Amino acid sequence: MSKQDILIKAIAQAFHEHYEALHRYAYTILRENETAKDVVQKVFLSLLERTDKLEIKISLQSYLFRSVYNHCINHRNRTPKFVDLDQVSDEFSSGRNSINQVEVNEVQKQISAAIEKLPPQCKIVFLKNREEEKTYSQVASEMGIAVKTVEAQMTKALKILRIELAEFLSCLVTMINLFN
Amino acid sequence: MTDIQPLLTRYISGEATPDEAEVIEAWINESAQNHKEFQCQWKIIELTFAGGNHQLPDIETEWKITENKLKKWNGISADANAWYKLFFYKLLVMGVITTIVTAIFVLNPFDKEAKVTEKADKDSLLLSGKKELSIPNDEPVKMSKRERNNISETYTSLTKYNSIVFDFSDMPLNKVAGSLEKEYGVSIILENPDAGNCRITSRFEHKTLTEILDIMGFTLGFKYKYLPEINRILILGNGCK
Repeated sequence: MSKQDILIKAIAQAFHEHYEALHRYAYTILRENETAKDVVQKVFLSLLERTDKLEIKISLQSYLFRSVYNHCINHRNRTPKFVDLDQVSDEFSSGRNSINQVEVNEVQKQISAAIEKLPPQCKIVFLKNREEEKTYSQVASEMGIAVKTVEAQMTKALKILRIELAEFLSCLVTMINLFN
Repeated sequence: MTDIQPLLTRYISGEATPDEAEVIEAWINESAQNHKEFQCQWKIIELTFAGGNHQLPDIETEWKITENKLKKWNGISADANAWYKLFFYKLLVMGVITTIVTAIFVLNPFDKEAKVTEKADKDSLLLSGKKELSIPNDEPVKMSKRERNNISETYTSLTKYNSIVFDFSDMPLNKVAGSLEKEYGVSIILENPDAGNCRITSRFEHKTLTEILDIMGFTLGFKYKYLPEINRILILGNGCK
């Protein structure tokens, strides 16, 4: 077995071990499944490319997370944000989500009701972050508050929503686990 | 749970640093309860996000694609390495050849296309090879600096490589001399006019005048002298040996 084969085997092991976490992390930053997939793939490809000159002084897992983060930030800075209308349309028409349209409407109603129950500032922070897709620092600068405050308001919002939607979420998670 | 909550919020909001993401992943894998809690909060974020849901691709399919790319890249890389090595060795060989050729040209003691040195005391010009070109009567001639410069320039033109190609086919020496005069801007006189009838068949490509004269001199059996003060070359002997 050649040196390269050994390396590919080691990469395979790391791939299977960390792929899910890395993809999820990339998705939290990019909010695009396809791009997250590309980023993670690039990270693993660059692993082989750099084996000769790469000296990993931290754990491989840490290296992978940092690498994903850097790729995501670079991608986000390079690419103007746009919504792929075809993809959105396809998702809606094909009913790709496991919940049908009636259930989606019901879910939306519940969520909207839960969000309405949030304290005013908490609600604004949450909506700016979630619906307007603004980062903590963007929200902070827009509202003239500290990033730490935004963070605290987001945590508070999630806690409230978690309680308000407890029953529904429990069902949903159970359902997802069953499907998986 | 209380301590992890702010971090969890940061993570699912896309604000976590790589280190924080690692902590969250470790926490998720700690217990089934943590995993469920994460999913609940993750769902809240997903449901409140207009862009869509997180869909984990099939890991095995993704690995196959990545593996193919890795192998392909590896193959290309190996090829590139081989080409790089080949190119490097070629460069090395060319470098060595160039050095040797340069050394031969620069250091060759028999080089007839020689460097010009000016003897300040005698005002004569020397070829660094076997030949000395001097004023016929060997008497020192007083010359101004400008005149010396002119001679030097003229002589440089004699030893300068000319891009022209001479192709003489059974041509008499006096005609050959005419062609050379025109190209090198020097006057060529035959001491013995009969030598002008000697015939030459030769091809000279990118040669200096001294090289051409040396070759012809060797072939026809004549000698020559350069008279710098009148910018003239005197061909001595009967020729046609």
